[in-house]
Amino acid sequence: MASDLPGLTIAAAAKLIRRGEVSPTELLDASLKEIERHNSTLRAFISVSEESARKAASAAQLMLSAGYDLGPLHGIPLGIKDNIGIKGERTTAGSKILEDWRPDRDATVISRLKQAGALFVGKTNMHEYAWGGTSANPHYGHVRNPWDTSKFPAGSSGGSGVAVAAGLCCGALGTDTGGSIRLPSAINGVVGLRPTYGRVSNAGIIPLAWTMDTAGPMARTVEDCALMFNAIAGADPTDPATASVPVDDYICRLSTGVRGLRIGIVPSYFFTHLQPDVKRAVEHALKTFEELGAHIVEVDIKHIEGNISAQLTIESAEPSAYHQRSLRERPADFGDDVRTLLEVGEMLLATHYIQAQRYRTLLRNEFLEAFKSVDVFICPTLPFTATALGATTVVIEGGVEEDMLSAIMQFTGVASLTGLPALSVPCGFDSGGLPVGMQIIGAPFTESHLFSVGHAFQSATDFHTRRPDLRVP
Amino acid sequence: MAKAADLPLEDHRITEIAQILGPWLIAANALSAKMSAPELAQVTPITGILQTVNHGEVSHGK
Repeated sequence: MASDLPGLTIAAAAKLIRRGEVSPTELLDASLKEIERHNSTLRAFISVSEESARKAASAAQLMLSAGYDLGPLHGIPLGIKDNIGIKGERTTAGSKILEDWRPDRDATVISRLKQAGALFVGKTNMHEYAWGGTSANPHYGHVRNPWDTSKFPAGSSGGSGVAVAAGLCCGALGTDTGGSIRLPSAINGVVGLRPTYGRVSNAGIIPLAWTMDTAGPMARTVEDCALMFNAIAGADPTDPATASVPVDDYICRLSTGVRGLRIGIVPSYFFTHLQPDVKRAVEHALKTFEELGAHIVEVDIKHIEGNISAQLTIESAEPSAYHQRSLRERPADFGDDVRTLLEVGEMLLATHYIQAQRYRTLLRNEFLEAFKSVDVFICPTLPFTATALGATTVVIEGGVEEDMLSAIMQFTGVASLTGLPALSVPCGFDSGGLPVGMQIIGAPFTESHLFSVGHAFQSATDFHTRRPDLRVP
Repeated sequence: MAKAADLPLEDHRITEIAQILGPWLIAANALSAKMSAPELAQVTPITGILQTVNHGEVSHGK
């Protein structure tokens, strides 16, 4: 039994805990054992919080014994991206500059997960300061893809994606500015949600770009993501960017189905310039939805071109403002790539930044208009599958090498700029056995709806049940 | 530009920055040109101050 535990979904583990067939301590032990076996290769965790997690597991067990059940996350071991502060735990954001920082308070998402009874098994590795999409970290090791350890795991929440995919923990928190939850979810074959901007508090999380940063769940199933989202969603007085829109129960509508659902696709943008295997997998997923009763509607988003430039401009300028002092006082302590990007961000003009912010209004209004005729949009999460570890370029088609950063955000930047929620769900594998993900984009605050669409797909397919073969040499 | 930003840069850094900045500036200038079209003159930046709290009447003295 113990060896199977790390591969359990949150929902399945919660049932075993409720039935008394496994204790939070046993679940934690299994998770710690898997981390010990695989972390030296995968580099998914920067820190492992064994002592504090064991205390929390014992407390969780005592509470259950006394009849206090905090819900489905009670006693579940989670990984937490290392830019999210946990009181007293080392929080580096993948940087050398913060290598010894221990916050004096929990991030709001951490407080809420604690209230829901979750355990934190450790802090997951990431692209330094979340500014990049490869999780090639010069300070804590390059995170490796569990499906093929010679490949990259994407990022910036690469450690969270790998930890979940490899069964090192049951679920994880990531953060997403330009795609940092959705990209590693797709590349590692797990589910990840970028929430509506303002749905989840960013208080206590080290920022990348304030006007686009979000935090969200990463797990093996849509249902698990919904369980985690139930705990973290909602307004927070300490984060003025959060919205006072009431939260849903994100589980109760999970089985609504997709009969009659209108799925928007944008063939001229989302289905051009991508690897054939990715296109094939997402088109096959669309057929599955049609078989389940959904309708496909072609939509033209007139102003969609330009989104990558707007994304890069904003995602450069805002971090450069945040790190302005460190860049002048400790430039050599940044990794080369992040240092260069921060320097680049200082060279963009204020007018570039403002025009990019105006473009966001234009693009958002166009999507909001489109949501009058469709319920969701579906597209690939990214145009390629996992590429070589350490690569800074990627070939998508025609043998042409492209800059990784621009290429990787080709499809994720749209939701980031518009503030719309987007769920990445595994939808197939390429000819080399590497996962492909699709992105389901919804109108603001329709996360319940995204979960029901993703759950319908997972109920009809088995891509999410396949696991990487992790043999220790 | 680095001087204008009061950002000290060694010579070799300038080459690294230029490789990325060059194409990004071309794209950013194209986006700026697009957003300068007369029909988009009324489009405002997405970021703004949200007036979420009513502070009530402002006293203008006795």
